[in-house]
Amino acid sequence: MPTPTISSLLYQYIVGGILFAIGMVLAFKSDIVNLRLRKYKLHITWLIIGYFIYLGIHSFFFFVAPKIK
Amino acid sequence: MQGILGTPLDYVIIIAYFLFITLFGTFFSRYIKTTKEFFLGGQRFPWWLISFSCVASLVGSYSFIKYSSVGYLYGFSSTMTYANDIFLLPIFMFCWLPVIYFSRVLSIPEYLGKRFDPSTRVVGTIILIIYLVGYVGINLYTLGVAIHTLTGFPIFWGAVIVAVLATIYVVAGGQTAVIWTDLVQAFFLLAAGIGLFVGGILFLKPYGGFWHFLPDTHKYALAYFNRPPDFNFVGIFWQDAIANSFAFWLMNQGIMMRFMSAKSLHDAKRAAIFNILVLILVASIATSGGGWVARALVSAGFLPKTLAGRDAFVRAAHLLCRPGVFGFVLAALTAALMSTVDTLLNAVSAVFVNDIWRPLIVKKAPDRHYLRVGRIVCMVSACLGILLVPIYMKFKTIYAAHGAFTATVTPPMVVAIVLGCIWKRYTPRAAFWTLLGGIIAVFLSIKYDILLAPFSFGIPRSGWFFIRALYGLTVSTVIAVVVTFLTKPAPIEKINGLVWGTHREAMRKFKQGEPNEEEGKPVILWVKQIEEDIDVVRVPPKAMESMKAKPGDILYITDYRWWFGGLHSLHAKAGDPITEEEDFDKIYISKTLVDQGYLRDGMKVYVEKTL
Repeated sequence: MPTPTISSLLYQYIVGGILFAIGMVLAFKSDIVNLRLRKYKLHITWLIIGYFIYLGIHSFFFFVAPKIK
Repeated sequence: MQGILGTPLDYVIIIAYFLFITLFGTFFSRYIKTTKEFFLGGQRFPWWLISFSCVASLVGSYSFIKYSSVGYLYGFSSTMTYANDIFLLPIFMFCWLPVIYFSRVLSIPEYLGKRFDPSTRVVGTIILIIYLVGYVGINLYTLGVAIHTLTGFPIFWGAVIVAVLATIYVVAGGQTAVIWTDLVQAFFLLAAGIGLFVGGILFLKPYGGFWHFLPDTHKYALAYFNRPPDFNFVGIFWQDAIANSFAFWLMNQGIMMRFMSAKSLHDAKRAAIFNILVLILVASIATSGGGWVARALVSAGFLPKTLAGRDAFVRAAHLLCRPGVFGFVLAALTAALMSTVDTLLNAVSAVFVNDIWRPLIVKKAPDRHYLRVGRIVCMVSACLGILLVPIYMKFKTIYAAHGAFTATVTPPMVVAIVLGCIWKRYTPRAAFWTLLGGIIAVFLSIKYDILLAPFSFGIPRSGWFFIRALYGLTVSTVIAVVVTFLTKPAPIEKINGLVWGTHREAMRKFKQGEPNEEEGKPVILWVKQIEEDIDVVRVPPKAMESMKAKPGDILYITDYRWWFGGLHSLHAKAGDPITEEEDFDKIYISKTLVDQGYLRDGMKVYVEKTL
């Protein structure tokens, strides 16, 4: 199997990121999302944290883990 | 390697597990009196129950074989399929969930009928029935393969046994049985998968360690962009991360029903977040771990170099587990199947009753009639799934069978549902032609694969089937947009509550009043059953104040013991506050409502305002 290149990581987080961003815009503009309420703030915060958790995990297993002997 | 694995103790454990799950599931028949309870479990369950049961439905029996096989051949990139759902989570949570939760639709075709028109509903019903029954067949087939590998037992009859057991408890306990058995099965299959992975790491530690024996190419979480043809990043991304993930979260009737059975929209959202941020990651390790360990065991010389991918999970489990423990791991494999098949059987039943039987065949009948039909359809769809097993046996690999099937039927449906729930301008005619045109286009691409060339990203031709999902999504979206701008949109009053931007209206319709989202605190009270037959519950003024509730708001009353997971619970509107001072810690509930919620007089309950 060929060694993966960075194009896979970039593609995933750019194309996937666009989809995620569209969803977030729809969330912010939704007529039932009231960011003054704690529950909505929590939902939005966890979504953003989640995106970066996945980005972090994938980056780790791309840049760091393969180099650990 | 047929018939050489396992000891009598392992088989005893598998049989005991089958019996336990079947009896446990049938226990919930006492909670099923109406179709709402049979299909939606009475909309009473907390987020954790929804989340765990969802992951059990996500992980099919094919998952252990498929992802262990991929993990064995390609390493950590086998997690690509699961670890991508975060991208669609905002659309699922903020566009789709409010629509299905508040619109009170029972099925996806019903949504398509309300959002678009009857003809779209018919096309949607046909696609969904094919999708769901086909999926039952795939799951039964893959379990049959696993049992065959283990015991030499014929694939077909292995599938029959498991299908019969799952059907027994689904017919008896409906959605409630599905959710509760799936909770148990989720723990079982996650523990077995993770246990096997950790066991492999510990086993290899004295010899130099798991990491040492794992090839460097296996340590990447993503595959090479467009090579090899049978496992490359871009093909998997479009087929699994986008098309199949959207299909799972938005088009899978079973998952839709699971989220609709949550006690509130807030709990449904919490379940989705916990599922995607935590459980799916754990599930991806549980399902692939056997393959990773098998690869390291081969490098270390504990397993033969000729080991085939599809045998990786079972062989690694057999090497690492003692007699009895191996039986648990194999029981987890069957748990994964049963927890997917039970969801699908309940889903097929819901679609058939709601979209075929009730609107077209017997229009006005007592609820118990539809409940009986629902149970019969569960049995019939299990039989159909079994009949599909010999057909799937002709496909070369499980992966190809699953991929070809889902890539063919899902893109048009996914586009219709996504655009339907986020784009007000999207017209009924456009939805109809998205479905029909999309299916025709995908079908043509199977006959003339040259149509996939512009989407191939340099993948060799033998791997183009992966990219059929992208082709299908693109063609369906183009049809949707073009036809939308050539036709008249539905009047806004017709689609109110069914599309993004009109969710508040959906909440109003659901509550039949103005939503009250002021954040209060739940209270603990004791049930006082009253003689008066009223359809509201009454709580003391202090409790109303603490919950920030007003008369007319929807309250959720549940057994104080959280581990019952909402089995004894009820949604009811708040009436005027109690005036009797001595009842400062009581909640007044009529006998009808007490029976409806499986509560009892004097029970300690937890009360919260949901809307």
